[in-house]
Amino acid sequence: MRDAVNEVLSQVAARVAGALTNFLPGILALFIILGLAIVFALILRVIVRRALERIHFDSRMDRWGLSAVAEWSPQKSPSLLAARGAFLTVMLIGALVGLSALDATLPSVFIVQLFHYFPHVAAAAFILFVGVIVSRVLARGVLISAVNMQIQSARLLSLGVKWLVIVLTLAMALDHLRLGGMVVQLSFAILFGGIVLALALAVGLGSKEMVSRAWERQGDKLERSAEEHFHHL
Amino acid sequence: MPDPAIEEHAKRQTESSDDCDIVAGILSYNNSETIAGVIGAVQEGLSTCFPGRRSLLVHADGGSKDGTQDLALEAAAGTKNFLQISFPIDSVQKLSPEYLGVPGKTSAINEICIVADERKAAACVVLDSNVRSLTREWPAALARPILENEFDFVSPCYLRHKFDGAIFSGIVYPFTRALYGKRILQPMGGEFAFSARLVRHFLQQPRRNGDAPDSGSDIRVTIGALTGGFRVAQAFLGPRVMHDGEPAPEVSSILAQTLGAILAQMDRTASVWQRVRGSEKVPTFGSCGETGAEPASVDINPMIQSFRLGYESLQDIWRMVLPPATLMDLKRMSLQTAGTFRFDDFLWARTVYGFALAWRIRTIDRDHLLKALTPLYLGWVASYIRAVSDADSKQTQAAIEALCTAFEIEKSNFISQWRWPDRFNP
Repeated sequence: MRDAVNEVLSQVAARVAGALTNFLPGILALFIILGLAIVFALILRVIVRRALERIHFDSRMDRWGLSAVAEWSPQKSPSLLAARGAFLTVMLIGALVGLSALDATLPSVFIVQLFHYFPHVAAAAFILFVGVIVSRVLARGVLISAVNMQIQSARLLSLGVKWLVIVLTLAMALDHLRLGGMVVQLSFAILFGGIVLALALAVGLGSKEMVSRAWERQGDKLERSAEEHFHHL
Repeated sequence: MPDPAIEEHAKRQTESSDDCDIVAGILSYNNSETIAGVIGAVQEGLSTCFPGRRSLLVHADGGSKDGTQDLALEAAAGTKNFLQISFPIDSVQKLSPEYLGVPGKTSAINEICIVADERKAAACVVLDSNVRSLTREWPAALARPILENEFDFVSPCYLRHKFDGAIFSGIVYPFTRALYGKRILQPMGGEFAFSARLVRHFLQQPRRNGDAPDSGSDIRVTIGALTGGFRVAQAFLGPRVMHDGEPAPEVSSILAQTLGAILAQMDRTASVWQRVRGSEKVPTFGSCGETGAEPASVDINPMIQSFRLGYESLQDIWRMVLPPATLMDLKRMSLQTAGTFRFDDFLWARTVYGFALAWRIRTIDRDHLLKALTPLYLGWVASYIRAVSDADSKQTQAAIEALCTAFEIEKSNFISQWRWPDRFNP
């Protein structure tokens, strides 16, 4: 009896030792990979932050109309946000690679899918970035032109143009991320069409008198300019 | 060196290639209604005022579609000293409805200079054929200081109503006077003259890609003469009445093109104007008559409304360009009534310099920046009209002189901000 128990215990001990022997290299590899990832992430964070500070990234973001990013950023610095984002990205990749070193199937599959999805995320982020800048530039141009034409609702027009471009950009980004599918497309169509219809109604019906007054003023201005002794040049 | 591309494109029609004393270049673009009169006046002026001098009339046309070139040839029929040339033009300038003046003007002036240099002309006069009031005295008034007094560049002075040329009174003249230290009343005149020495200097200048837009060819010539150490004078020509062909572009486009051309030259000549302090008079030939005592009929209320609308809607943009103190002063202005509306001279000078600095460091898109100045400019115009509506010519001149003094005093701050833009943080 005692011999049987001893044999079972030695078999169990041998299995545990064997499992540990198989598992420990993976654990060690995990810690090494994590350590390297931490070092690399720290170096990358410093490089990214210094590079962005050198090109005055924070003031440029403000100038490009992305000052809201500063509101979400630690210490209101988009440079710091980008640096920490780079740090966390490298740490995440390091953790996933480390988990795959444990010979775990699920993390390996997840890593492969993640790397396949990353280009779409990058493209969507790029589309969003460009779209926001374009929307700000177009909105500013419309605002200045409308003010110079003495249109009282210049701000409203500018805001409408800005949100039209942003909605279009969001729809394109979500399409790239393959999120939502038909729901996103239909929502975009409804929202975009709604904004355009609202603007058209505002100009065509709601501002009918304002537009006709503006045209009358324009006509009066042309008549007056022929009589006035005033020329800018 | 002359641009080989321009020489390749130019087509010369002339019966004579003799040297001459005076080259008179006439620029045109769709000016069929005025070209014959201008050519006749110039020919008569040259033959009457310089009977012993050899002259050559050069007609540079920007590709007119209304028969201007044929009409010019008819007007100069039988004249041996007539030359018609063409030159390459950027098609964008022809298509843009907001473009001012003759397309390809820089190329046209360059081509006229090449002809003047080839013929060893002592004086080269450039005239705009869109001017209805051009008389036979104009070429002589511009050429005489060069031929008889050895000046290198002669700028025009026009007889204007006190409300006319607000852009020149409010921005161009005070700004260029403060920068370059010379009191040239019309640095962007469509008519001017230069000597053989100055012609050779311009021909030796390299043509840069993305050079100043053609609406700035006049200011380029003037500033080139000012910064090149040449002797500069100005000549009174009389009233300048343009032919009313197509409707003029919007004031925002005019402002953007005019100021943009000046700022481009300002950027290029920074090493020169930063050393200039104060200003000095420029020798002036001829006398300026008095404008008629016509009653003012300008309604400034739309301009004030435009200023107020600009203040309400463009604050976010102005905040990126102007310091808080200036914005506070503008806020006080927006609360003034039409009867008390006044744009202080120093405030206006600081505003113009602020936009010039923002243009240089590209705070926002340059075209947007200059167009965002429009409501401020209209506010200044309203203030100016209100200030001089009951003033005589001497009082009007005194008001402009006070404005120019303000620009000269504020220049030192502008230079500091130019040199240390990192400290420029509205």
